[in-house]
Amino acid sequence: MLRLLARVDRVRTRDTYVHGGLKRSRVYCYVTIKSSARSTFKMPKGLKGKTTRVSRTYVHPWKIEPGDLLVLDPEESQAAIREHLRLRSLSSQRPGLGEKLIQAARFDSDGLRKYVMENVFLRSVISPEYGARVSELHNLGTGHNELHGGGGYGAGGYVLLGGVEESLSRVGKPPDLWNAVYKKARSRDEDLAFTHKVEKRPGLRQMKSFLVLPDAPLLCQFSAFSFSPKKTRKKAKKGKMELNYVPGVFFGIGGETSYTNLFYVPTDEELVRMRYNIPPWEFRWGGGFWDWRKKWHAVRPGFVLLAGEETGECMALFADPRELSFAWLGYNLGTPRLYLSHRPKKLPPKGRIGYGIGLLVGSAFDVTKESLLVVSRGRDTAGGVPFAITYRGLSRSASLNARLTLDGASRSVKLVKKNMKGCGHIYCASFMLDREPDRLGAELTVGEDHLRAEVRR
Amino acid sequence: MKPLFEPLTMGYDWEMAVLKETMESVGEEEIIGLSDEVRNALPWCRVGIDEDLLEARLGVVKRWDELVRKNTEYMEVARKLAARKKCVLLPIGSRPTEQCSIGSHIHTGTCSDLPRALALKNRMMRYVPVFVAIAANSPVYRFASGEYKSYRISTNADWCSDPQQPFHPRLGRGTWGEDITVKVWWNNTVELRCCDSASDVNLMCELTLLTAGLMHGLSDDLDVETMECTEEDVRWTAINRWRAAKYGLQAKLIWDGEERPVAEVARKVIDIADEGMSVLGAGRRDLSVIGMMLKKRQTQADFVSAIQRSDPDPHSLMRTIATIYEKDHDAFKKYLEIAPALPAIEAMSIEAFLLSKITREMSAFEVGVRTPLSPYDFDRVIEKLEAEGKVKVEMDEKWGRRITRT
Repeated sequence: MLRLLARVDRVRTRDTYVHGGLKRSRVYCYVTIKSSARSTFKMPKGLKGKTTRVSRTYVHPWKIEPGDLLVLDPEESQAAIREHLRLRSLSSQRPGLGEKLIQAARFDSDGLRKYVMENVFLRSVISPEYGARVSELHNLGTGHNELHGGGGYGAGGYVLLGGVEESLSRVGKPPDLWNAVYKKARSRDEDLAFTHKVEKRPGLRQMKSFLVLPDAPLLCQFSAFSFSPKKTRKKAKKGKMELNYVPGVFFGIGGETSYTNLFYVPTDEELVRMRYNIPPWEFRWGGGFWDWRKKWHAVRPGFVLLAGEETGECMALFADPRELSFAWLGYNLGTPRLYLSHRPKKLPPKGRIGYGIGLLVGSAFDVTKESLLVVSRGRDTAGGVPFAITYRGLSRSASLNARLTLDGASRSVKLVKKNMKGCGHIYCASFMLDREPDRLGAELTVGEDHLRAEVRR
Repeated sequence: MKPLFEPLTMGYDWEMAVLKETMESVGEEEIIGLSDEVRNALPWCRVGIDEDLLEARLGVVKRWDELVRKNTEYMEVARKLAARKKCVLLPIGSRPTEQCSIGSHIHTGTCSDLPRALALKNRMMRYVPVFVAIAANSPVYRFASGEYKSYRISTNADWCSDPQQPFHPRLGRGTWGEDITVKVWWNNTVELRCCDSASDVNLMCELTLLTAGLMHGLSDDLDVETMECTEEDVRWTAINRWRAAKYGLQAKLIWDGEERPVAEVARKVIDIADEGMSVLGAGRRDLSVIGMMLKKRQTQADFVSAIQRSDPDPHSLMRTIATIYEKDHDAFKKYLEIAPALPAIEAMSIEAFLLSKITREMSAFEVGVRTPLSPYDFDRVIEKLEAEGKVKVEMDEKWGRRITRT
């Protein structure tokens, strides 16, 4: 993602040829790294002033000369980072079913810190330098990263980094948290935690924590905000801090941002199924055109499903339906996106508010306006092929029984209730099969909903 | 009858990006600061800002030599002051990696008769594609490239240069934001908004001259009792506008019922503009850059695309273009000298184009917004495609028509 800006020191010509009726020369440019190519991109320490070599072609007579500035593409930038910084690679250890692995690396490919959390179903990457966001979420059953960025630029230096990006503005406007550097904090119940003082809102602090369940294809994120205004001598009016919590999810199911990305949004009225093949209009932050059709209220079961039309591959997002005001869907600069707008809240001094989000990956699904059933396949392990069945809906019972069909033979599977901090609960069962079945189907009846999802080899 | 333009004057608001070394905008405050400094240095200048862009305005200009002098002086001063602030002044039709279309809006005055100006707007409609083709300068926009030479026009400049609709001169009030916008009540001008921001200073002057000359040439015998435009004019102008945005000067336009290369039509435009240009103290000999462009069918967009072939990454391309224009203000002129002549291209049909954009269950709006066709003409195309079995149209009570390619 990172692009570097560099100044040319020396140029060496490799060859000259004619293409499209114009004379062109291929050259090696020996450059000194000046900064990142956008002020809002983070550049790793120790890189400024280092030299590297890049290849370029220029059209005559507009020669590349010493003193010219060049923007290095991500591959060139990463090569320069590898050349000058020692990157610590991650362990090749793979967790099995019922295990999880949390790793920290000193640098990712952009030379920044990264944290990796994985179990047998998913692998997530957290980037503390960019708002402690979940920047990647790999579905290990399919091998695809379901989140996406695009790298486009918006007004005010905003870079479309992608992943799960939080905002404290009603319309998902990014400046509050998206680019902040988060500090690692001690975690109590979760696997990882980060903390950050929100600069633009004195007294506001965020504690962000992450949890991966060892036996479910689920990543939980919990953002807690506390407000401690400074004491002043004057009798200050005890003000409350207004919070509009809006996490945005930039995605491309199956690693694709094409029209095959579908949104399923359950509302009181119906299950809305939408496609994002062509953007009607695009708009800037801070104003512009809002298509009312994209905004959906009363998302009562507290989930939105994002799915690939042809593959059944999917990612579900969970939020607390009592806190969720609406979900709105958009598409800008080639990146489908979803915003979960929470109800505005007043945070009193010494007060604390928390918001949870769950991200679930799967290989097949069935969905109604009240229920969601997902079958997830995990990464092959020495012990076999792991699968999980997950249900989210309006049911409140302690457990549910699903019917599992394996190559024609069927049996009952008990789905156990699992709570997710700040975003309700799911019912889940996971199991290991010796070999991959030709067909694996899961059926579940809850109230009037009869759900059936099937994975085929 | 009194002339519509009395006296004949010209001017422009020419938008340009003001960028940091990193190619991100310096921001509104810095642009306001730069604009203040330019105004202090050139008191006659009316430079200002428009959103995140510097907008050069020379005020009311009556003579060609005055336009060239003021334009040259403005660019010299603005570039110098921008360099002092360590930023780059870059007029270009779009920023390749952002949503920011940038235009050259050309004003012709002085006009106080709104109904007759509306009649001129109707008459000017068919000439819009010629200007779109000559001014094309946005071949990379929001990461997309290769389909249009003017992505800015293909997206209607983000609501700022919409396809024109005819008005009855006695009933219309004028609108804002169409390719030709009648600004008689507040600016005393008729504005041409469809040109991409010109990177070349000389071309900007020539486009201004040509527009004023053409509007003068078309302003005789304007009839306010009837609407001069026909259905055919509207249909073919829409298709020609799309072709011009797609192929630039390589386009072939439908003109008087025949398919003709846009360069040939542009020469007719120059003939019409000749008298007006002489009123402004100029002649066709002064359109040297446009003349060379028509001869080779090359546009500024082709120049950017030629560089892009060697520097395909849009982020890097932007920096390269800025460096070229920073070091060589006459780069486009030089390019015209060395570039080969391009052939005229047979256009794909509008039906085939629309079909290529239809996937599954698309709303009519999503498809229709891809062309400047009027809703009536768009419906006819969809009906034709449906009759040929190429698309299926379903009605949905909430979404209206949903179109699927079969």
